[in-house]
Amino acid sequence: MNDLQEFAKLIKDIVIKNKLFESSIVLSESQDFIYSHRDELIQQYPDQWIAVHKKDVVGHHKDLLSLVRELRTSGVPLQHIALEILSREEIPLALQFIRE
Amino acid sequence: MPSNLSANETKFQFQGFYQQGYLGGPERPFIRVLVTLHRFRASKQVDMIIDSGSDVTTLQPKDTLLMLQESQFKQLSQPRQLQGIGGYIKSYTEEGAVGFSLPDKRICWVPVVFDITDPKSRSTLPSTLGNDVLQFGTTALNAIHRIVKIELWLKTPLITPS
Repeated sequence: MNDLQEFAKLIKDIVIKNKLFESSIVLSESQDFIYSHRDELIQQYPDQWIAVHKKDVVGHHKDLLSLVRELRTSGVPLQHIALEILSREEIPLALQFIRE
Repeated sequence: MPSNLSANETKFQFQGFYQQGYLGGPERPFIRVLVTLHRFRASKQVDMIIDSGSDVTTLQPKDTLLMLQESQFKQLSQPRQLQGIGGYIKSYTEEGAVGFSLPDKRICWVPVVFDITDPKSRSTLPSTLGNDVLQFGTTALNAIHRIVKIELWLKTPLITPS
């Protein structure tokens, strides 16, 4: 990045192209729905990743990559989607090497 | 678009939040920010975990997979091995920015370098966007009183209207 002007132009281009602020409003709704309904969602989708659009669960899978592949083919607006793992047990959220 | 703030307007405060009962324990706070990855012209809002380790770092699980396609991971730089618990995890480095919300719907953007972990790493934080933006300031965390206060000191902040 050469200077502030260049950085500003880049940010502006990305924000406008992606409609970032508009999508953030929807994404906030999606993420907040998970926070406020976490207990119910864990009962329905134990130990799974879920994808939420606004107040709807639009996908769930044990494997994150598989869920994202399904979302991409379904055509849902990814900018609006909140992803969450609904583990029944508390797991450490840390960079953790897990052997197969 | 760049900031023309006066010299005394280079200190910015932001507040995070605690999520009761959240995975990882109630002591793990979050902050809602905007993230851009410049080379891919990608952006997204994300809730980042504020990890107060020996070097204060924010970590964001899972959202790179919604910003980058799997094929784009192959376009990332040469991977390096990042030390995690129990072993090493493949990680890539990519330039981007973190945007913090200010009053009046303005955004304070800070250029950063992200560590993007391989989504196939099987870590409990797959597809993480790690960064050390908080090196530009201080972070005060108080889980008992549920206070998350971040203060950044920026010499040339970029402030944009939303």
